[in-house]
Amino acid sequence: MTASRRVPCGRPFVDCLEFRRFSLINPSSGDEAYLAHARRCHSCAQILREQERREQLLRTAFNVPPPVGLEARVLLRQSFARREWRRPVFVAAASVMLALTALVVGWRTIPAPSLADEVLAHIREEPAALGHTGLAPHEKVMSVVHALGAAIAGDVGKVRYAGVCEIDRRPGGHLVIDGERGPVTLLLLPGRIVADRTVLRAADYQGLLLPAGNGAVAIVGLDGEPLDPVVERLKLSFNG
Amino acid sequence: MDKSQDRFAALVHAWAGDLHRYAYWLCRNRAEAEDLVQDTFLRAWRALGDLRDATAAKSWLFTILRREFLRGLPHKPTHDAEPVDIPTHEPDGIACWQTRRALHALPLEYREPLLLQVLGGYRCEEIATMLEITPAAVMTRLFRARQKLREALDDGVEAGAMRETLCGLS
Repeated sequence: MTASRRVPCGRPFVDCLEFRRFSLINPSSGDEAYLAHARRCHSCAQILREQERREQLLRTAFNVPPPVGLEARVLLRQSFARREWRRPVFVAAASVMLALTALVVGWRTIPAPSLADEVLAHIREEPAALGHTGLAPHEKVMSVVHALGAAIAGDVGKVRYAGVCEIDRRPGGHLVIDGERGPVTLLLLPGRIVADRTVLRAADYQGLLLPAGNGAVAIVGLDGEPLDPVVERLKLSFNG
Repeated sequence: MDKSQDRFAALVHAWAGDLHRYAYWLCRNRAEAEDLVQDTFLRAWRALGDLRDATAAKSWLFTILRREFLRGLPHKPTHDAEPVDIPTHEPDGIACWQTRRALHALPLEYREPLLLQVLGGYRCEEIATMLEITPAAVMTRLFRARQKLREALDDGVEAGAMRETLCGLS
């Protein structure tokens, strides 16, 4: 422990307690007394390194990408506002144009895809996941499941692929296991609301979308794949 | 293009991204965030003459956006019961996603000063001015914000979501 002392300007040198408090208030300030303390104190140096790691993660987390075309849309809207500001006559024309555009666009708008559609689309977009013939490394499977906060306590079957994917704009677990007729895809979808057991159908696929706790699980196999045994196996594995 | 239009376009190019990030972390919804940014720039355009100092542009825009957000707050339904709208980007990884989820759950009074400090790069005194609270209150909130985030991430509270999902399989 380093004792707290006063410097001529009246500001205290940082002691361990103050160091830890400061590390939660302004760790990236570059404050010289704060950094100097870390150079003298081994345990606080570790805290500094850990806090730097957390701050980097925080910066990345805050740094969400803005939507594509945002600046152009802002300038477009402003261009209409500018006309309104200066030439009221233009407003009527612009409004009519906008209304017509909205009418046409609205008429052509496709309804937002359902979760069932997103599930099938995701499987179609990742055909390589179905083509793995070797077993996925156990560590990889566990890391994917752990990353989503779960644990496998039983036998889910032979896992050929495991990954964390973006499904319907949110992270989900993507596993491919062996079925009787071919690969069976399991999508673990935390936070997705599904009211009832839903049957999924596509050209060559069939599947189930099931409510599960505070999320959903999708199980999709080839046509004719018996899926209920997979459901039972999952219940045992994850409840195990 | 006239001079004010040049200035406005420069502001949009310089700050639209940061404003959108600020808006997103205020309202936690990407569609609403874009609406907020649009409304902010529209107000900024109409008040462009008030901006005398280019170096103050960012704070000026942030302040307008915050006022717009607060203006709409009483009429806005709470997002707490809605699915969480967390942007994902594969290179950011799961740790980043978990941090975003923890930030979503952080109350606004803690999330906002943290956002202004980490993303905005503002000092405690500047944040105090923007939030109209004392610098000491800003420091307290920053301390608690990081403490709560650390608890949420370290205790695996966030990670529990998927466990519940899988154990509730029906």
